[in-house]
Amino acid sequence: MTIHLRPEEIEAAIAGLEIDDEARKHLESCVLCHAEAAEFEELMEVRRAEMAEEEPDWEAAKAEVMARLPGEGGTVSTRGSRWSRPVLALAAALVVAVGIGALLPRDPAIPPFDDVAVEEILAEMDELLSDDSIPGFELIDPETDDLETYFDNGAS
Amino acid sequence: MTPTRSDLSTDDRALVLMARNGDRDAFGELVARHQRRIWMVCRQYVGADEADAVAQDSLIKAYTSLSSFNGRAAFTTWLTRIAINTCLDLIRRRKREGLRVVTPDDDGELEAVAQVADDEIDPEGRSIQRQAVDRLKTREAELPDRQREIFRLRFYAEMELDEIATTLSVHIGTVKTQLHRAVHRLRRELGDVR
Repeated sequence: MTIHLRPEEIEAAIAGLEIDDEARKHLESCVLCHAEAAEFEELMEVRRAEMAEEEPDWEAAKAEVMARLPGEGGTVSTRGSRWSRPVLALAAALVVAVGIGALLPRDPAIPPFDDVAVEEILAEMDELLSDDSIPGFELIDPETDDLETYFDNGAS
Repeated sequence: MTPTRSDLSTDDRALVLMARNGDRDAFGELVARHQRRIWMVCRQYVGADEADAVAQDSLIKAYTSLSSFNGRAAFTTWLTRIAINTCLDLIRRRKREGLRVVTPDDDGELEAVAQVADDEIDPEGRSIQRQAVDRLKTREAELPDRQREIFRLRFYAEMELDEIATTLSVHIGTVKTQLHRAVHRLRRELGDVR
């Protein structure tokens, strides 16, 4: 009894992937398996032929590229260079914004750093963390002033 | 011995060196060698209408960036990467502008039917094949993005697997897997028209 190729082997062959020697030999000699692979390949051939009809005149296309090369009177006007215009505009806007910001008086409503209730905020944070500890970490004893000693005593 | 353009064995790297030294004709030879492939790559991303302009832009970008080509990859791989980036730039720009790039899948029905089909298949068979091709186009457009991209680079731009991997900066195993899945899916979904 002839054992035909499995669909995945036929698909691998179509895709140009490696198949073992035995499978390749079978594909070359078996009319059924060969036809199955060829069926898909024929469709791809039709698609490629359709695309080929859309191809430009290559000599003319080459001449257009050569005419656009910089140097020897050519000018470069790639679409990619258009990005520079918005970037320059953005940079100019930033410069203007920074300049205006530097000229404006500072808001007196913002308290100086010393006035911020740092101790209160830290106390709130400690309270929060004591309820919701982070796995792998432990809270440092808030009474400890000397951290070096704290860690030397076995804290991780 | 310094290579000359007339020497057919002159490889791309030699031509790149000559072009870097101001030999425009050497770059012209590179254009002649690779423009079809670059156009075909661009066509897969932006459609036939835009492919001419984007392919041209890509080749000019390559010329102006020749000094940055370090030769680690093949010139054609480097050039293909530039072409893909140029296509993606265009697609992004069009999206920002609220416009749509006409993709290769919806740029209209083509009347062209391959000669191979005309010569070898009877009218009924041709009609069935036409249906299958149309179905293939539809299903191909529905493939996941990466699968479709790899499938098209392989089957239409006719790139080697390792070249696709290098160009897209993906592992070659990914290319093989995605390609296999794409072929499997398309064959399965085409099954009911045969």
